[in-house]
Amino acid sequence: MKSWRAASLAAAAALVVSGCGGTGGGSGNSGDGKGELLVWVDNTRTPAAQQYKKAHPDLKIRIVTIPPEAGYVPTKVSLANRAKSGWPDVVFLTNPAEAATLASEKFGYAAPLDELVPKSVRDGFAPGSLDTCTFGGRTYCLRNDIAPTVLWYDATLMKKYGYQVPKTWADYERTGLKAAKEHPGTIVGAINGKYGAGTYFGSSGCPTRDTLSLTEVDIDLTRKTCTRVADLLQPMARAKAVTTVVPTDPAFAKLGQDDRILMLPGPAWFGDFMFGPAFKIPEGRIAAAPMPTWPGETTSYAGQVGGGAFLVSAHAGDRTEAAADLVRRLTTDVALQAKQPTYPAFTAAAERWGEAKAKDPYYASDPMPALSAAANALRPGFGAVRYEADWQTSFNDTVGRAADSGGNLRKALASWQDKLDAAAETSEYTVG
Amino acid sequence: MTALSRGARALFLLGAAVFFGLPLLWLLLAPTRTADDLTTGSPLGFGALGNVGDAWSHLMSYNDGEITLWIGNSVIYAAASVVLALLLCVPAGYALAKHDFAGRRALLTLSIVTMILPPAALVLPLYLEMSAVGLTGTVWAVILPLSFYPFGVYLAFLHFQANLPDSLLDAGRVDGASELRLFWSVGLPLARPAIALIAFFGFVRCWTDFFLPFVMLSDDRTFTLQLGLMSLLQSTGAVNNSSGFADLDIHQSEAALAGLVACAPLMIGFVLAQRFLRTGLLAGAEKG
Repeated sequence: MKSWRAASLAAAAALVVSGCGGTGGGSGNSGDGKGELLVWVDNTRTPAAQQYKKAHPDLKIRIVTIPPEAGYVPTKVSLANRAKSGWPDVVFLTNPAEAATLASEKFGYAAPLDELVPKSVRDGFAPGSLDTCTFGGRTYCLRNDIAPTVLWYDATLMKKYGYQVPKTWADYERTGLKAAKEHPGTIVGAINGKYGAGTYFGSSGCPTRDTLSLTEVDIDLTRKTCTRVADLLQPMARAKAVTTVVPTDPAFAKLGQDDRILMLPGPAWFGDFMFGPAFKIPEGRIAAAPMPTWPGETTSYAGQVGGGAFLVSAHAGDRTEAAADLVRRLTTDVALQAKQPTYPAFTAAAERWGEAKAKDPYYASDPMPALSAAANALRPGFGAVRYEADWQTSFNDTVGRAADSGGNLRKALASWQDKLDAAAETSEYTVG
Repeated sequence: MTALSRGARALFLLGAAVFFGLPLLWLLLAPTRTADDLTTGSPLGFGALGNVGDAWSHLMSYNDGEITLWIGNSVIYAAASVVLALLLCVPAGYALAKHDFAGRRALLTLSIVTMILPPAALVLPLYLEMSAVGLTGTVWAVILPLSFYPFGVYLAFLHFQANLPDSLLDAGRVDGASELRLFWSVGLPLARPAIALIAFFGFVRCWTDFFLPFVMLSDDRTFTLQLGLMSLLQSTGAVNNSSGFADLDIHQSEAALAGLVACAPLMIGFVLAQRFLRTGLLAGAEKG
């Protein structure tokens, strides 16, 4: 009887001791003046960060892999702010909109990079790609990758149906309506959350999230750049030529498997990560064209759906220079960037990245001309906002719901405006 | 019972079994199948046992097999917390049940109040407390808060009150045993079912806790299995192709296997402890 009690006490002591040293524990904290550069990156960016560490043996660098969970970094930084310690010196954001939160006065986390990264380097990024990092004229992050939208299409189906790839949105609408009539069930677009708002309204330049500063935002859905999108989508929504099913939903994948996706304006990463792996569309069928042009314009302006960004901590102290160097290297090193999965924001790296893409047998034709044209024609005004999640859900609750129920999309814009205004004000913006 | 009511009962039971059993069956079968088969094949089809091994090696490809580190961390956190909780709960429950001291009733009430307090409500003050003593990010930031287990104190209190007659302790006192000796030699041996019960529930609580480690830990090398799996599944196309863009072969089959791995210790623990659990749960239910 005594033995089991003695054994349990011994086990207790052993476990407590092992708990003390078992996982190494570590402070996990930086901003503590110990000189260790604490770098938080997602799993995809970890090898590049490790490569940087290997190339800089003189620097003490601790790389932590963080989950690419929306809100993870702001939550952790918020805790560090309360504890007044534990900030990472460098952080990677899988959702660049979080830069607006982290740079805000309330958070005070993101350091301005204008003095830390030379203008000549910043000028090497795709034009307008740093707009999501810029507030009140100061740059708070560097983009790692961007997600400009292009017009993806199934070249085999287009040929089979005898359609031409549209060059204007009017052509796009005509082709979509024709396809829906002649081949019921066929879709030419998705209007759900960021995929709808970022692709169509983003490329049109509708001000739903134009940041004027960290505290001011322009939202005006009565403008022509917004109403023309509603007018474009209205007949297509009624004809079911566009769907409100989100492209990441298995039901959308079923459309692909059933050869129902004729065209899909969407981000650059759809090419590698959705058409083949999710929609199961076989090799040699998918191609990319520039986004159609809006009336009165000749440039094929692209919207944006995704991408990533690096930030440097305002609490990095004497590690600030090293942190900025790491961020600069990870975002602009051509060899490192060429290996990353999504479209590099740094133009020279994108060209190298595109060399492999141009030869990718998955595509019916080289997608790079369309992708690089899109990267160079990001519609200005698409900013990082603190109401990103509400921006998506309010779109679905208004425009998406009207599209589903056969309602009036122009009227839905008024409801969307109200919800965006409320979300912006809750996020401490003055709506201009 | 008429044939009709028997039929209705059987139908209800069958319906309940299908409703609750199907998702579990799917979870068990999923690791045997490939991601494509899961999407296009029959919902409850069986793939091949070899696929389970493949799924595991795919899981191991994430950050050089970091999943095994997370399993080890979870075991250490849970075991250390349970041991500390037992060291605190059992004597506390004994004292509350068998000794009358000033503030006893208030302590008991406080135990019950803290028992029903949502754990998430305490996480922020706990974080600030751990931060003040420099423990955030360390294993102690998880172990120490989890070893505070008022439910365990209450279980121990109920057990000692119902199963340890005062006369037995009085007899010991007459024989000259000290209070510590009475607890060690009389109370503790009779409390084995209660200890098993507290240990099991405590282990389940520690093993499945997500929010506390999420707040306290930032370094992936210190993550628990639950926290690590969140990171792993979100970093890959396991649940969503647009998530992470990692070049890893981790999909739904791997996610299902990870889920089973996360549940396995609880299932094994339950099977091993069920004899004690039954005795412990029924202890004191009938008192002569």
